[in-house]
Amino acid sequence: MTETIWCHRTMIVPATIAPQVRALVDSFGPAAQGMWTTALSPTGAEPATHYISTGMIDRPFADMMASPHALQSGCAAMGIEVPLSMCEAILGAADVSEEEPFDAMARLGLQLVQDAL
Amino acid sequence: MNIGRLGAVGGGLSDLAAAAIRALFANGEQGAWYEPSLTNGTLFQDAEGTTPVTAVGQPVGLMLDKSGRGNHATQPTAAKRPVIQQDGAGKYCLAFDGVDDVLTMQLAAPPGSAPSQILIAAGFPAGGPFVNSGILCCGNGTSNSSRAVGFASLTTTKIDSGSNAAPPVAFVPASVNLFEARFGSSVESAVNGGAFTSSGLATNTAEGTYRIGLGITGASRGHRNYGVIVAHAYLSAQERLSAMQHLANKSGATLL
Repeated sequence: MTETIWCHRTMIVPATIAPQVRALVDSFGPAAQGMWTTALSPTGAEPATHYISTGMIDRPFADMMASPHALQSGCAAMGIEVPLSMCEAILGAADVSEEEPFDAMARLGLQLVQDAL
Repeated sequence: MNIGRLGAVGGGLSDLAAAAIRALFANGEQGAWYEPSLTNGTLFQDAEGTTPVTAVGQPVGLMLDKSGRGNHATQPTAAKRPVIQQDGAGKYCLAFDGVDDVLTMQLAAPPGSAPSQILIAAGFPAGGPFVNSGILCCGNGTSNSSRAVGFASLTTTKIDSGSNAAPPVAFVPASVNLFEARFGSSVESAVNGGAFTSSGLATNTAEGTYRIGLGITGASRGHRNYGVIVAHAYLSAQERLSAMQHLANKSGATLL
């Protein structure tokens, strides 16, 4: 059995491209499905301007987000054809870091969107 | 009586308390019992249960239910899995990131309008939990059909079922706390074995999806979960004592 190497990543994407990113990443497999469901905005109120996904992901997935070429070739290895321009657009708009989520959100001036109880 | 001190004795008393918890479910009673640890074989890195958790820092995609009812908690999405940690006192816990980490459990028999009692041992980072956040909820995720263990402020609980909430109970966020919720003829809240406060109003019907790590409206910032007991009944005084004693021993919570 091959041991999974886990990497922590915080990935924040603008709401405008979130559906496109979800659709692409969902095709990577069950463990990648359902990401970017937590809404962010500058004030913490709706509407969401960004979505965040943060936590442990496996090494191959983390490596794919290192550059547009890595994303494209990683997708190709899974049989998913993605134009380089699309990879450039996604990673150009996304904020991918190894930071803790609340540090990354603070750096970008974003807060969780939460309703009052 | 200082049951926190009794709990700290460990070993034999804890074993007796664990036996008492098992007895809660011995006749097929519905519920769940989770106890994150590297030593009890209940944690797996993936949701399918093929790769055991073997070291702190690994994600948890499956946490087995120790009650015997088979209500295991899972998370298929890798980035949404909490991570097993050991705190400064060496106690095992699940670290939830407060953003999207959650383990979900679907009870075979939803609580509906039946009573339930929930005990959770939890700790927080400096500053305490977020206001209007939670660490567990049951239901459909909307405030009108849910039961939730959350926080009205940085130092007070909000145990609620929609608009029906128990009067808040104070806790010390810098410590590990044992939160208790009772739902049934009233919504009730207690901390660290103290007296229950009561809403005086019967709870709403709830569906059977439990979310560990989330409240109704959001997650609590970076909290640590040391153990959860869900019983679809009110515990007797002796059962409550045993359950609290066991969770206190596992978490380091100091009971009143």
